[in-house]
Amino acid sequence: MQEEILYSIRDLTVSYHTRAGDVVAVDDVTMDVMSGEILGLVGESGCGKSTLGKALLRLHTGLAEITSGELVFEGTDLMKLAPREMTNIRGAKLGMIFQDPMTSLNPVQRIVDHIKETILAHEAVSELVAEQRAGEIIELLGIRRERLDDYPHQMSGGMRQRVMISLALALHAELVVADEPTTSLDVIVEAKFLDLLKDLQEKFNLTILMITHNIGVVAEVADRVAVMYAGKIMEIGTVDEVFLKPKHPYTQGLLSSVPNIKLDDKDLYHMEGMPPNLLDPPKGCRFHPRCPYVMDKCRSQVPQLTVIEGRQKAACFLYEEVKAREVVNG
Amino acid sequence: MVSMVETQSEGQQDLQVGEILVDAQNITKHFPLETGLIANMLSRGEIPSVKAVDGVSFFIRKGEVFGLAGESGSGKSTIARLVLRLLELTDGKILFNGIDLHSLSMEDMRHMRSRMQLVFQDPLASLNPRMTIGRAIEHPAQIHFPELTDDQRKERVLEILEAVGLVPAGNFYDLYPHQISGGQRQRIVLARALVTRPELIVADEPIAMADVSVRALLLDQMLELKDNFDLTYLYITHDLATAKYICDRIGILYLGKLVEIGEINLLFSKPLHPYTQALLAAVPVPDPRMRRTEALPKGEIPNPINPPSGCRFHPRCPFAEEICSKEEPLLRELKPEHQVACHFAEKFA
Repeated sequence: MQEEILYSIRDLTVSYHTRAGDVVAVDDVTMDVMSGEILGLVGESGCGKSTLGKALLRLHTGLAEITSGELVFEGTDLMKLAPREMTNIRGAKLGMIFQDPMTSLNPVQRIVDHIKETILAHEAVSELVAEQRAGEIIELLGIRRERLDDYPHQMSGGMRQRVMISLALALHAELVVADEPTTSLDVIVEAKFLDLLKDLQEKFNLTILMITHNIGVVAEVADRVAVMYAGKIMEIGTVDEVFLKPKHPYTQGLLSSVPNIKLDDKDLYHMEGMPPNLLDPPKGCRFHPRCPYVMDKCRSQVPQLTVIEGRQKAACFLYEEVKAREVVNG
Repeated sequence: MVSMVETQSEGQQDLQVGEILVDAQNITKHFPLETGLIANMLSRGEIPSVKAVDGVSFFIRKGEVFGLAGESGSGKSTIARLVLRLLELTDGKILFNGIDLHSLSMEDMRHMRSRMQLVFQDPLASLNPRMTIGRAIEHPAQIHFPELTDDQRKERVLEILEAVGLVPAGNFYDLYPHQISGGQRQRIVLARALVTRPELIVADEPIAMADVSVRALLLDQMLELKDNFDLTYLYITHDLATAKYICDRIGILYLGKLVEIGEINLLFSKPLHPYTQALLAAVPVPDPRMRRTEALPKGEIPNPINPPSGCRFHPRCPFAEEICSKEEPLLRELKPEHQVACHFAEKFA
């Protein structure tokens, strides 16, 4: 796997200023996205994964605000860019696709015009060249060129999602943030779309941040996975590390509460309680009220993400003691 | 959990085998397309229609969880609504405890409704935000049991709240839906369905909206309620992994037709229809060592207004031969408790 960092998120905090108070949806997150990898970002609803995804493109709107942190993409801190400069990078280098392609596509605009518009907004080429390129891109994605003249409603959900990714590829985006891209798709269409993403990763060295609640999807396509809970990254590592030897109790619980269709396992784990309300998150480790291994320390202090083994990091005090012992034993 | 699964299978053996609660015979539902007056005149009475459900037969035994799975447009939700007679049949018959549901008068059907209840996908959307939980659960009891006094009704609601694990029940009675968690809301929806003491619960994607970490709990709770209230479930889903977890038998639908039906472990361990095989292979598995290697069927689901001739799956099937486009394969029993509609199913047996 490539070891070059494409996008480095440093101490990122994103808050929603609501009438009831500030909701810190992303809380002091530090994470690197490697060039050419598919990084899965998993978590349950309200954990902040979509907010984090949008923040990478500085797409947060309305009540949301990036209150601190650096977003270093190819050596530049995007937080320091003027809105105009950010617009140039967005679309050209950073793309985003959403769960429901129908709401991201203009219903009264033909597919070809969507793609042309994107190209012409960023590059000084003729309409003819842009149209030619639109045809090439959608063929590459497995849609016949004739369909360029279709309107979004004339296409199936799987095709619409392909059109969305064509908008990112039209300008050779380096990083695509895909927020639940297969959630509205049927299972066979989903599998085909995942195959396509892997293809694009290989052919174009495309980097994908795949945000999803579907643990299976991540196991299927991702190289690495980050597990998010209540605004914090709880664990990160390669899919093999995290899926086969989950370290954080939340990851352990999450993974063992998901049924595996290929196994005759009728023993699903019931995690205690519910994810917390972020208006008033628990002190200390945010998972401590639900954690089966909770210690006194967990109730007052916040564990930091630290290397456990190989590329695997977890934010849990359980491993601090293990580490300390290792140090003592040399 | 393990002990619960055991009691469940013991309970099944106690049932008289063959006691059937729902018997759907050749049910068909076509939705005519709105084409307008002139188009109707030009088409000389032959109005095109969406063949949502086209000659489907299955039965549900008392006390079992029967699943219907398929992709969008397969007809699974239409079947759920036909079984409850929320939609009228185009053709066929549905027997509920031997009674022909679709021949009942509206008045008789209204009484029958207390014996069958529907649970939807989104609990927040199916609860009135301005009605307290107690009132929401009381409401169906008020309709179906007008003879109960207010106190008796409240007593009944509290009983049900306790049964679904919302204790102390008195505390929940006066809360509003937004004041409780998503998992609790799903239990409220179940409680409301149970208050009329139904025999059949039709659950249409009941846990699709729930968070991953609470799904297992909700499923186990459904199984527990089934035993405590002698329920039978028709479980509609697109999620095959949870279907495997909760169902005893399952039917796989494709474009309005049942392609395969059988005992869940038999069917999932050795699917006999190429479509079922593809569907099962496509399910993402939460283990990177088990990544999919199988090829996926070509193309996309065809238009249900003009479904393919013969076997509806033939244009996408890797094993299709000439006969598949000409003759429709009938559902046949290849093994006990396992039926399939494929001309060449023997080669997968």
